[in-house]
Amino acid sequence: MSGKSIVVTSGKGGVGKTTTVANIGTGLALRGKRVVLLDADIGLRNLDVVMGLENRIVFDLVAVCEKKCKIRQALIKDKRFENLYLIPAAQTREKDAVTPAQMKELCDELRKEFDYIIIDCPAGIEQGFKNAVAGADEAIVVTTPEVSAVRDADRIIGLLQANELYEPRLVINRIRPEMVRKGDMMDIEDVNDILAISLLGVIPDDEMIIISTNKGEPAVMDKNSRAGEAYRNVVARLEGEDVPIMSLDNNHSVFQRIKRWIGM
Amino acid sequence: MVFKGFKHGLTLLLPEEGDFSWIYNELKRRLDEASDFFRGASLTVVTKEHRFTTEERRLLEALCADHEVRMRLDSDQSPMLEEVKEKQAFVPTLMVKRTLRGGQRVEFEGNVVVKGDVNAGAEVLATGDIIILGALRGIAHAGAAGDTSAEVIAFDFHPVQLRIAGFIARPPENAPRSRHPEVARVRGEAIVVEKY
Repeated sequence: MSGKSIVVTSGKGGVGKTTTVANIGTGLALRGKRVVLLDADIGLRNLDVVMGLENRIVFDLVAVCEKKCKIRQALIKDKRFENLYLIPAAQTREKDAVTPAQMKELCDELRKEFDYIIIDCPAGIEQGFKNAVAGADEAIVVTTPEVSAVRDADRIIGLLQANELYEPRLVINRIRPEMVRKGDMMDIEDVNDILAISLLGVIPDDEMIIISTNKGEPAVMDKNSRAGEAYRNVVARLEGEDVPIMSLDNNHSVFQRIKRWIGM
Repeated sequence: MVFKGFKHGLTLLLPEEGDFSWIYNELKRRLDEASDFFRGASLTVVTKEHRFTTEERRLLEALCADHEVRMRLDSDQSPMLEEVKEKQAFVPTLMVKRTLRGGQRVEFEGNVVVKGDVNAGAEVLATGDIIILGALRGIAHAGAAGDTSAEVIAFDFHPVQLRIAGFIARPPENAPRSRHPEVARVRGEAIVVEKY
């Protein structure tokens, strides 16, 4: 078995990298894939919290890289899925506790056991970023429809390409259809215009995400969540299925929809 | 020994072999044969491998003067190359075959052509012209060594800032978004952007 490692990155902080990692990972596990989530955000770990696994941590990424434990010992099995694991970041160390070569070696080992390795990249473009991308075969760039987030995403795409990750795919997070309609928020087309990479998914802004994050239950499992549905589509696209980007404004009045059809 | 006609006059291409006396006699023979044709012409002698001494050069000039032919030596460049060079088309040009993203910078002595966008946070600096086959959203500095005739051309013109030689401009606030290619050049004491 030889799996695929995918780094999830953004440049800017707070755009939803960790949430995206948790949801994509859980979504793939829902489909029966063997998945390991790798938290590369050493010193500011929180993927374990989002996954609700914080209290099970014994060994972490730094311990594995320093060969203080076996990989198997650092793998934390998810509460809900037999085939989903987490390797947490160390909280009391810093980014330079790990080297790109060690990350590469770790990914090579994990690829033998898992279908997918999803790497949660820290914000920024320094050592932590270099570590996170070192072992990756593919990259997902997360952005929100804000000028500053798109700027940073653009910079990150350039850096990914310099690291031989030539075709990163884009997730646009926290779109608010009513704001886009009023012209107060960049729309998908504006973002695509600037970044010009293939679009993996668009996630609507959804309060459920905050609730699910706090409860440690990824939204992708919730059939009633719009964001969850969007993440399920992202997972399907990762698996090579051709799913159209979902329309974000289906709660229009009939009159508005007719206006839209005739191009008003 | 071959004569070729160009619009600024005749060119004499010398063979690679042959010593000076042969060249001299052959040229004399040709000039004598068709002295009416050569009268008043200007002749460029392309010497390639040959290096004439001052004495040899004087002899050739005297021979041409006898036949009322203006002669000049051109030891390294063909007249066609020279013609092109006069139009300054031989400035080196760098082809950037991708989009320049934030934080990326290209600096080049010559012209720069970008086959892609120049995004916000990216910078292109050239001593010659800058041509962007895409959107300009970052900074472009043309004529960076002081050439005020340098131009910046882009399909979609939305720079953060624009520099030509020593002039700096930024687009006016709330500038209308144009959808056609535009060119920026120095007019008088300012950078002017107009439809290309």
